[in-house]
Amino acid sequence: MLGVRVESALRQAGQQLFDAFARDVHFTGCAIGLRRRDGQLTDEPVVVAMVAKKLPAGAVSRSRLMPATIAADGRNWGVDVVEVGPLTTAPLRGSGADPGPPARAGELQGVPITQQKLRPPLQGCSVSDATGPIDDTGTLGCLVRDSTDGTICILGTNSVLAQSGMAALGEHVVQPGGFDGGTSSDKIAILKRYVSFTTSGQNFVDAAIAQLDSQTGYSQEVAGKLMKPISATHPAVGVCVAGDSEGLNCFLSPMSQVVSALRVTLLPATSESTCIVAPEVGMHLEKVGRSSVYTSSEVADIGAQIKVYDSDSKQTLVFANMIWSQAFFLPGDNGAVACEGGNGRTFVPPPPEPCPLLASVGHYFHLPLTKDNHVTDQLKTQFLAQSLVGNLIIGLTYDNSQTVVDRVKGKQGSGIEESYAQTYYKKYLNLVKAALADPGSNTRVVTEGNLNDFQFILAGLSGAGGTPPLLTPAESEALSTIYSDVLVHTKGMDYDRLVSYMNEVAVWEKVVKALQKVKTVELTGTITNEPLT
Amino acid sequence: MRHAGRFGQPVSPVLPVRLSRARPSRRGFLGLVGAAGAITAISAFRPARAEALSADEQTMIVQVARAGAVFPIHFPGFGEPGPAIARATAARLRNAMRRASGSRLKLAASGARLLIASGLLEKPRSAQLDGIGRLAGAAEAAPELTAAVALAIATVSRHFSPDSDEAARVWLDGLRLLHERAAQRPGALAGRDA
Repeated sequence: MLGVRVESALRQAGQQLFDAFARDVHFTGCAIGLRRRDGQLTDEPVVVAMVAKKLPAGAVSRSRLMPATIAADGRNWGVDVVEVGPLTTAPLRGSGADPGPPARAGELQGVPITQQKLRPPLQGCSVSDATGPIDDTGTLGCLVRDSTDGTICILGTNSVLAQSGMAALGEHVVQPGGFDGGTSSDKIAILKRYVSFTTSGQNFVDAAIAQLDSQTGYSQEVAGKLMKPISATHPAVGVCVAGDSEGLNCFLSPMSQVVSALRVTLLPATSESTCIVAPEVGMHLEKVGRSSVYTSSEVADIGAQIKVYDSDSKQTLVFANMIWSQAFFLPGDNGAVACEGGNGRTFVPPPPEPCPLLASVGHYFHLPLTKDNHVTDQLKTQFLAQSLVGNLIIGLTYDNSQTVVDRVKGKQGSGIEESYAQTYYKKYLNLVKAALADPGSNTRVVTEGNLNDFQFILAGLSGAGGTPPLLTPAESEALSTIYSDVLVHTKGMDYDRLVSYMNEVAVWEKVVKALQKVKTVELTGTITNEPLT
Repeated sequence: MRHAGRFGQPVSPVLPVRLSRARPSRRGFLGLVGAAGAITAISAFRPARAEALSADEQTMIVQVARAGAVFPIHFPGFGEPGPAIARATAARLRNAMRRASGSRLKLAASGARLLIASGLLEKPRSAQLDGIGRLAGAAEAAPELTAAVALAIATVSRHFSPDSDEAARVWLDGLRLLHERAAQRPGALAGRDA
């Protein structure tokens, strides 16, 4: 696409840039490709400079300012500066990502196929070194044939299968990986060979192989059959190696370099086809990996040279000639094999935006509420959305969230408020989780203690503790009325009875009537404009 | 003006607001609570078991009740008039003791002795609160301490049973957290002696 001569000149220019800025901690790498304007590719070949934080020229010291152009092969090439956050080899460990709670072995419901125990082990599933930390878990790339002895091996990365060179050859590889509940009894292979990292020069691959225990009962299928197996018409492009914690920028080793360095061939390779294709800018990629399962993106640039922090060796490594893709994989997908194909736009999910309401209230009371987004979502869809009063509460929360945010903005609760908020938070988070997990249980009911807690919390928010009240007197009065008119009758109700009660028109009316008296509360949603009687 | 449901939740039918339906008035509710209090008062005819707690132990419980009446908030009325601190009295404690089971009283007495042994009798309120918070962090003290606090809460409010741990556990856990904070930031309970 770029042409041989242009690509060669850009590589020279890129190397000059890398050499000049390699020691700058804010410089994360460079690549060659086409300039992007407003997210769109132009046709101008450029060197792409990657920085952890892109700042206006006036805010950067002259010594750290990226050049506008670089001369190579008798021509000045433009430099496109882009933000690429700190990069790590991408097992779960050290990525800074929150991979969610580990699945327990045998617990299949809600666990992606790639994190389950699969026999035979399949491309895209979770693997790890048996002796490493359980969160040093990555992905089984594909099956390869060892050219030195003809045995069948799994392809993965040094940073996962060999703990960045700290594991001994012969160590056990387990599937699923330790983070996903794998134990020594889940052994599938033994570590056979890996390409060592160097800290004194460039690395070109993060690659390792482990010999399969079963040399006959293997399969070239992909986990969950989420994409076609590797073949001459579905060739492999690269191996997922490094990225940032949110999957925005992802880097792959070209497959041709990987098989060459390891002295292997892809299992379906024949004398006619290696089943490998060289990357090109704009090429569609697809892969199946442990964390993000199936995704598809495209090659953004090639020839990338990047600085990568390896959490096993605790060293910063330089990787060269990498394929750059975006929104393609997450920590835990390390080792996944990308093939040519897909629609190019089935990206990893964007990191969830923290709810401003939960963030503000959480900050005020020093509670980790934003981490409970999934619980509040479940509470909303599974419980509140099932009733009239519940939908009223959803609407109220939405309509008045800015009021709450403004009320606590820039403030911090007192130590007493924080301590008792934590006490109630612990008590009710567990209760809500248990109730949502087992809604059919009739042994869990609203207790007098729950109602008492409401009174205490309401009094606290109304300023009974001597701290400035968070509620206005009218708001406190309305909630007190709702307590005495509505809540007090819920004592002894189980989940289903509570939903049924909250669906009673009379109950809904009582809540609406109490709230409509409060000028500071915006009340819309399922309310008509008919006059109240 | 009508609004569709949000967040993708099922849209509830838009309902007319008809608020003329009869409902118990707030005054009526308070009356019900008062009636419940009157029924509870029947228990006053049960013989007092003052001997279950020594004079010092009773004094200790009343002092805990006085602390709990104003900390961390002014204790809500739960159907009883006046400030809660006015109800933290020896007479009310004896009434609460009549409502407690025998085994519970023994446990509460043990809790009171623990507080006294920790030097908290007749101490300023902030010192008492911090001392209780320190004891609340010790698992071995939990049942006795909780029973003593539950008796103190039942002293302040007839709405609470001296045999129930729930409110006491919340109060103690908050104090425990505050004590831990105070260890890092002295003065967290300052100004609580009034």
